[in-house]
Amino acid sequence: MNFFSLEAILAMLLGSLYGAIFGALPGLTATLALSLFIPIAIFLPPAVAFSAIIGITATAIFAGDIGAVAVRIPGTPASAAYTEEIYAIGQEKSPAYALGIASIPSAIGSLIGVGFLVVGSLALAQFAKQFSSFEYFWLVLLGLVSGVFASESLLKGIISFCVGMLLGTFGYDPAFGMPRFSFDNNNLLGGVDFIVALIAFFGIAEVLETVYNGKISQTSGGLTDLGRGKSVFHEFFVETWKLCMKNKGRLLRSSLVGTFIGFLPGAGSDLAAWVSSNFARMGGANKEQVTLEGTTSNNAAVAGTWIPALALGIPGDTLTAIILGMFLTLGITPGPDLFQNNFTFVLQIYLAFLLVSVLVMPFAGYISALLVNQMMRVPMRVLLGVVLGLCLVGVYAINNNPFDFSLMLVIGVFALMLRKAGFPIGQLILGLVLGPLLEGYLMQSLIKTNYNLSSFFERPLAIFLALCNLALVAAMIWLRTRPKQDTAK
Amino acid sequence: MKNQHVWEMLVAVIVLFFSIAAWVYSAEFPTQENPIVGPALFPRVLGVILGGSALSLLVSNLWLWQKTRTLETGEAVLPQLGRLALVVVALALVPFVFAQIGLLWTAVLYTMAACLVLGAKPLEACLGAIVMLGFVYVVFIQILKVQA
Repeated sequence: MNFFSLEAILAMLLGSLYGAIFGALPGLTATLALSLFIPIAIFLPPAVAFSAIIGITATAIFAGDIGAVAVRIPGTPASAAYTEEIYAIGQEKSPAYALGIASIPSAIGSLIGVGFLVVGSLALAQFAKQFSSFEYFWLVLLGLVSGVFASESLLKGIISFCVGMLLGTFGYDPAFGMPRFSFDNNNLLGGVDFIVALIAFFGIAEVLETVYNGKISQTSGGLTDLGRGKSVFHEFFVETWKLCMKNKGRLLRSSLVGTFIGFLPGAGSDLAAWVSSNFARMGGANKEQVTLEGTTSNNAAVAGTWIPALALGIPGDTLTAIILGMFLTLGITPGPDLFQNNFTFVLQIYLAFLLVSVLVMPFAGYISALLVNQMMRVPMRVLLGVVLGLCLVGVYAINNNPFDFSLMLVIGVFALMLRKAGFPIGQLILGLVLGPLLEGYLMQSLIKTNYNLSSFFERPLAIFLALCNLALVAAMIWLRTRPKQDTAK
Repeated sequence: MKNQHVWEMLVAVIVLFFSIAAWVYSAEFPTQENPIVGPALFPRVLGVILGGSALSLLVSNLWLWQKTRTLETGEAVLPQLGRLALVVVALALVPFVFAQIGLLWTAVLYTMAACLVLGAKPLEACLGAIVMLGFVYVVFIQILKVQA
């Protein structure tokens, strides 16, 4: 089965719609959508599963704008950068026009991002053929360092990463095959199941936090008059297209910025949207232009995050960390070997992205905007109840093991504490994925050089990557301390 | 001192416990040719980093508390904790409920209960449970063949 079979295309469309619903409703995120879908995805053929995943990730970011247009609350953090502007456009002109600006530039940004995904991942995979365990060690460390510095609080970022990595040490160790932290429980011999952890950290914690807070922000109501001009279709497609044609330079600039930020480990769509919309504001852009740049950039970043994930097997953000976990669960190891041994699969991922950008985002975006508008009338208290039910079913479906219910609860309660204390959960998931990789490359390198630490600095590429780590740390420290100096003055 | 700082202190204590546990348990791991490099190395390094970070978080929060000597009580914490404890106990019972009534009805029961706890009207909770029943039956049991 390939990505263009009827099942795969249907999965992509359904995935897009599902992603749109989760993206649009404030409180439900793209990460939660993906976490709840993974237990279903592992039962599907890889082509169908990944078609749906690409559909979910691509549309969930765009759909975050639907909540912003309807009720001034961004559905995803990536839409927060221009919520005021897009809401104002919806009020002053028409919601259909505002949703069109969310959809068409998103599709263009995604399309340009796909171009960079193809070129970037092919080049990076080719380059990575020269990598040995030493280079991979430094590369994974680069992902960790940038992830830590991407956290608002450095200390909390470090703790989140290390807790994730410590959870990753449960089960057989990658170098010697010794069982660790199983506490004489056979269920823990294989380690903490990534998908159980995912559901607990995002699904159960979300429900528990809502129960604890006792308040549910119900934003229902939806939009009553989508179009105010010729027709909804005309405002959604034609008017937006005219705007895009007038702002080609902005589209290109924000796509480039978005793809580049997406490519950086630890960054992602949120940062891309903020940087691009702030660029536009600083340049004196109007509301339409600010929104256009933000929405183009955050969708271009989605493709950008896939470049290191596909070519090196290193996730750039939480979503790609989940996708990488999915790859590994299905026995597919991303990296140069995937390009060499299973290039058809890689090619199909590119084409699926292309299909999502060209067809699914504009047209399914239009349909999902209408459908999601109806979904927004469903009370959030019911949706969260359904989320809890899905968590239970999903957790059991993975291994058919009731022990996973208890594991999910323990992790879920801990995740609630972390959330209330303001610890970044995304960093913890990245730690869970990157920790075993880091340990594996460290141990491999130490064993093959007879425990010689200086071997990490012998190969030119390894030295270059070690210097990159050093430069990143220096740059991040400089960036973090700079505002304090300004304030002192 | 805000409630978030209390949560921070709680997490710091738990993480400190993790770091000590990581260090203690990894002492039991078998050693290799090189006594330092082995299955215990990585957990121990993480234990040290976690311990240090948790201690500094704990100390900074204690220092803040010492300075202000106040605890923000704007939120009525006890009812919130009570409601949370109820849900946690209910979730702890899932393996037993599952053993009695199976996956499908456990999911339906918990969906309905969660809707009610979250403030849904009985009719809304029933509708949520019916949606769950249909979804789990069709997608998980019929299509994905999950043992329910």
